[in-house]
Amino acid sequence: MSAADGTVGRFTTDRSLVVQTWDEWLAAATRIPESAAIGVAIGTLFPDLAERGLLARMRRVAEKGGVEVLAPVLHKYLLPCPPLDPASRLERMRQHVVIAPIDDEGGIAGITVTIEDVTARFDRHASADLDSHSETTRLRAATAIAERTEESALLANALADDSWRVRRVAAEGLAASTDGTVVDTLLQAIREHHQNPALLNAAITALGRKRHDVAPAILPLLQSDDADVRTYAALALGLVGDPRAARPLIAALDDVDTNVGYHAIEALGRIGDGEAANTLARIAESRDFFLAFPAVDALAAIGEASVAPRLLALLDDPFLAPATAACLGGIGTIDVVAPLAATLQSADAPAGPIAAALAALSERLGKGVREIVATTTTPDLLLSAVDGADDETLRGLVVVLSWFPSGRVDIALASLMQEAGVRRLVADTLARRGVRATPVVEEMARHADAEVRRAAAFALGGIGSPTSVKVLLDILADSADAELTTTAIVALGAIGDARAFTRLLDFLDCEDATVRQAAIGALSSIAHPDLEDAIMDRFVDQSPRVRESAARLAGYFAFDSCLTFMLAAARDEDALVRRAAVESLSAFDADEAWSMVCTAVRSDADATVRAAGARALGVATRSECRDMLLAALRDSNLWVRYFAARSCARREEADVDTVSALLECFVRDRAAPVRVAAIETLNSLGVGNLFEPLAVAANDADDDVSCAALRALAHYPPHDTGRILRNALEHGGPRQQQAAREALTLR
Amino acid sequence: MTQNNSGGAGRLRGYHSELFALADAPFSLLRELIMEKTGMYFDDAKRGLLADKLSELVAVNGLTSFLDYYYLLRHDENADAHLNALMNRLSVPETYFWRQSEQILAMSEVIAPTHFATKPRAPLRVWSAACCTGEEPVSLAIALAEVGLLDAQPIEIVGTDGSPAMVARARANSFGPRSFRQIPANLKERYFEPDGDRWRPIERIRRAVSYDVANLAVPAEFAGLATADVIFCRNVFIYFADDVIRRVARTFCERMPDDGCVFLGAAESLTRLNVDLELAEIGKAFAYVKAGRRHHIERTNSAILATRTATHVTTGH
Repeated sequence: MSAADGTVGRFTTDRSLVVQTWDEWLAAATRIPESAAIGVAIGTLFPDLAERGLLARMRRVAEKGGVEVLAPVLHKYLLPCPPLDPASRLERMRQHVVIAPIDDEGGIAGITVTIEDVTARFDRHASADLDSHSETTRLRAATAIAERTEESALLANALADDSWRVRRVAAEGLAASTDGTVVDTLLQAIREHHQNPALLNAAITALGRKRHDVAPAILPLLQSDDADVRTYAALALGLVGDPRAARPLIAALDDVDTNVGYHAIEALGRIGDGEAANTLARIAESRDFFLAFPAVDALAAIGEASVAPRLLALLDDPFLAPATAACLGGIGTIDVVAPLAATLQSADAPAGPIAAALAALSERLGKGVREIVATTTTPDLLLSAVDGADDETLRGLVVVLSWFPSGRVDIALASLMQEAGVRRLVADTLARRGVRATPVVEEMARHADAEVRRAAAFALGGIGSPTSVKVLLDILADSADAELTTTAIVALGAIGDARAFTRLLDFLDCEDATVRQAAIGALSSIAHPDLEDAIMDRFVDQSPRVRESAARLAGYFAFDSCLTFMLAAARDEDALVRRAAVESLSAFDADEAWSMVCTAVRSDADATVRAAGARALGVATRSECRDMLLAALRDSNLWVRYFAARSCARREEADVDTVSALLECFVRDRAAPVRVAAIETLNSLGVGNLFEPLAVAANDADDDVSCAALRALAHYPPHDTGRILRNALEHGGPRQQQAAREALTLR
Repeated sequence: MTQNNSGGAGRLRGYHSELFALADAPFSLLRELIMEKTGMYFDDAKRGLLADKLSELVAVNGLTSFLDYYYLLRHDENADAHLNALMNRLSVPETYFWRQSEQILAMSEVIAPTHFATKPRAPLRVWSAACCTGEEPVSLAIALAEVGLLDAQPIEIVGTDGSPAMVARARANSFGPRSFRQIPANLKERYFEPDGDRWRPIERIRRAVSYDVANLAVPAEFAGLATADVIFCRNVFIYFADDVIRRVARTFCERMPDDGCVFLGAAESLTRLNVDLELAEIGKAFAYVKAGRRHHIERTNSAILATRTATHVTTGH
C-alpha cells in the first residue's frame, strides 16, 4: 500500500490542472510516458474526466482547497487504465484516489493526486462480476454481496447499473448494510450524481429504507448550491420520514426553485407534522399551478382539521376541487359539511369526489352529516353523475343518494343493481330505505340476470314487505341456482308471511345443505300453525334429507308430539338423520331424550353422530350427561373430543373431574383442535395454575395451539408472562405476534 | 368501518349471513389458510362473499361455525378431500371459447410456426394453467388445427385447474350455449358435434387435449408443467394475493424455456411485482417472456413470419 510495493502512483498539477510531475507507476499504468504527460492539461490527457464530473472535483481543490477522496465503490477509478494484473476479471483498474491542494506561501499552487491501485481487493470479490456484460451475472454478484451485510457498501457501484433489477438489489443491499460508511456513500451519490436519475432513485430508495439515523446527514444537502441536490434531499427526507426534518423542510417551501418546494411539500405530507399545516394551506390558497395540488394532498396526509375551512374556497377551482374534496372528507369537521354539500347546487361541481368526501365525513362523524346534507342540497347533480361513473365513484354516490327521501333516488338506486361493483351496497341501501323502495326493487327481482335478482331478493328480505312474497316465490319457481334460491328463501323467512309455507316445505329435500338450512330457518320464522303436523308427516318421508330437516325443525320448536319421532330418528338408518335428531333432542330436556343422546355418544358407529351428541351435551344439566361428556373426551375421533371439550365450556362446571379430563386433553391429546378447545375451555372456566403447561404450549409447533396458549396467558400475572409474550412479539410468526398483542390488550 | 346502518360503503355482510355468521377471528384464520392452500385472497370487502360461499361446506359437514370448519380444513384426517371441496366451491366456472382470441391466435399463428421453424423436432408444449371447464385448451387446439399444425406437428396441450370438479367437467367435454358466445360460427360448426342439447368437440380436438388437477398455490404441483413453451394463465391472478402471484411467476420464469412465454388475462399484470418477466408483443397480443429475451423473441418471431410470408407469396400459397 505504498509506492514501494508498486500499487501507488502520484501526479501533480498547477492551478490550471496542467501536469507538473508524472511518476513511473503512472507511466506504466496509463501507458502515457512522463514526457507526453508533463505540460499537458489533465483534462486533455483524459477527456472523460470532465464528463464524469471528476475534473470539477480537481478544479475545486485547486481553487478552494480541502481534500477530496474518491471511493472506488462509487467512482471505480480516476484515470481509466487496464488492471496491471492480466488475470484480473475487471476491465479497468479500481483506484482509491486522494486529491489534495499544494500549499504555497501565496495560496494554492496546484494539486497533488495520489492513486492507489485497489483492483486486487475487488478482484478477489464477487464485486468484480458487477462489471460483467451479462445482467444475470451482475444480478447474481449483487445478490451475493447484499447477503454479506458487512461488505455491502461495495454495492454502491451497482446503484448506477443499467438494469433496474441490479439497482433494486443494490438499493436493498445498501439499506440492510451494517457498514457505517454506506450513508456517506449514498449522500455522496446524491451530491455528485443527481444527473443520473437511475442512480439517484436507487440511492434515495436505499436511504429511505435505512431506518436508522440518516436524517441529520441528509439535512445539510437542503442548503446545497445545487437545486437538484436540494430537490433530492427533500425527496430523501420524505422517504426517511424523520420528524426532525419538518422545520428545515418548511423552510424549504420558500425555496426559489419550484421543484425543491414541490418535493418539500410531499415530504412534509409523508412526515405528517401538523406544524406544516398553516404554510401548506397558504400554498394551497395561492392556487399555484405546480404547488397547490401537492399541498392539498399533503394536508390530507397530515390530517390537521383546523385548516379545513380555509380549503372550502378551493372547491370552485376545477383543477383543485377533486383533491380538495378528498382532503376535506379526510380531515374536515362537522362545520365543513354544509358548505361542501352546498357546492352540489352548482352544475360544475365535481359530484363524485364531493359525494365520496361526504360519505367519508358521515363514516367518521356519524348520522348528523346525513341530515345536514339532505337539508342543504338536492340529489340532482348526484343523479346526473351516476351515468358512466366508475365503481369507486359510484360507491360514494350511492351512499349520499341514500340520504334523500326521493322516488327518483329509489329508481336510480334500483337501477344500479345492474352494476356488479356496487350491487351488494345498493341492495343493502335499498333494504334500509324500507317499504317505499319495494316497487322498484320488486321490478329488479324480475330482471334477466340472476345476480340482479339475487340482490333484489336480499333487499326485499331486508324491507320485509308482505307484498314481495309473490315475486320471491316466482324466483323460487324459476331458479336452478342454489345461491339465488337460498337468498330468496332467507328473504321469505324475514318477511314471515304464511303464504310461503307450503312452497318452503319443498326445499327440505333440496340437495344443497345451505338451501335446506335456509328453508328450516324460514319455516321457523313463519311458525305456521300447520307446521307441527307437517313435521310429523316428514319424519316418515322416504328421503333422508327430509327426515333430517324434520328433526331439525322439531328441535327448533320442541313439539311434545314429535318426541317419539325424534327418538326414532335418533336410530334412523341414515347418519344424516341421526346426527340432526341427536343434536336436536337437547331441546326436549326429557329423560328419554338425554338417555338417547348419551347412547348415541357412547355407541353410534358414525363419528359425526357422536360429535353431534357431544355438542348436545353442552346444555345438559344431568349428572349422567356430564359423565358421558367426560367419556367423550376420550373418544377415538378427534371431532367428538373437540366438541366434548367445547361443551364443557358451555356447561360452565369446573368440577375436579371435568378440569382433570380437560387438562389431560390439553397436555396429552395429539390433535391440535382438541388441545385448543381444552385450553380455551379451561380458560373460560377460570381454571388457574396452568402457567407451566401454557408456557410450554406457547412454543408449540402448531400455530393454533401456541396462539391459544398465548391468549390464555393474558390471565396470568405480568411478571410471569411478560417474557413469554415479549418473546412471541419479537420472534414469533405473524399469528403468534397477533395473539401476544391480544393477550397484552386483554391483560 | 361499520357493517350496516352507518350509511357507509364499508364491509358488507353476506347475502345469507343470518345462516352462519363469519366473525373476525375465523375470517382471519380462514383467509390466511385459503391463501396458503389455494392462492386466493379475500380482502375485508369480500368477507360476506366468502361466508356465502363456505356456508354450505359448514352445513354439509355438520358443523355449526366457521371456526370449526377452519379446524376441519387444517387438522382433519381427510383434509385433502375438504380442500378439494373448498377449491370446487371457490372456483368461478365462468369462461367461454375464443376468449381474448388475439392471444390464442398469437400462439397458433406466431409462436407455433416459430417454434417448429427453430426446433423442428421438439414438440410444442402448451399449458392452460387455469383451464376451468376446458374452453381454453379446446380453443387452443382449434386454433392450431386452423393453421394446419395440430395433426402435422408434435403438440401437447394440457389443461389443469385447482378444482377437481372443474377438471371433471372439462374431461366430460360437454358444453352449453354460454360457452359459445364468442367463437365464430364456422369454427363451432367445424370443430363441434351435437351432444343432446349440448355440444362436444370432435374427436381430433378431444384427443389433442389432456387434463389434470394442479394447484397453483403449490409449486411442486405445477413445476413440471411450467416447462411448457407456452403458458396460458388467464383470469386467475385476479383472485390471488401478490405474494402468491410472485411465487407462481417466479416458478414460471425458472422453469420455462428461454423463448417461452406466458399469457395473462386482460386485467392482470406482473409489472408492479418485480418478477423477471417482461412484456413482449407477439402477433396482436402481449405476453410475458423472460427478462432480457424480449428483443430476441420479437426479432425471431418477425424473421420467421417474414420468411413464411415470403415463401407463401413465392409459392402462391
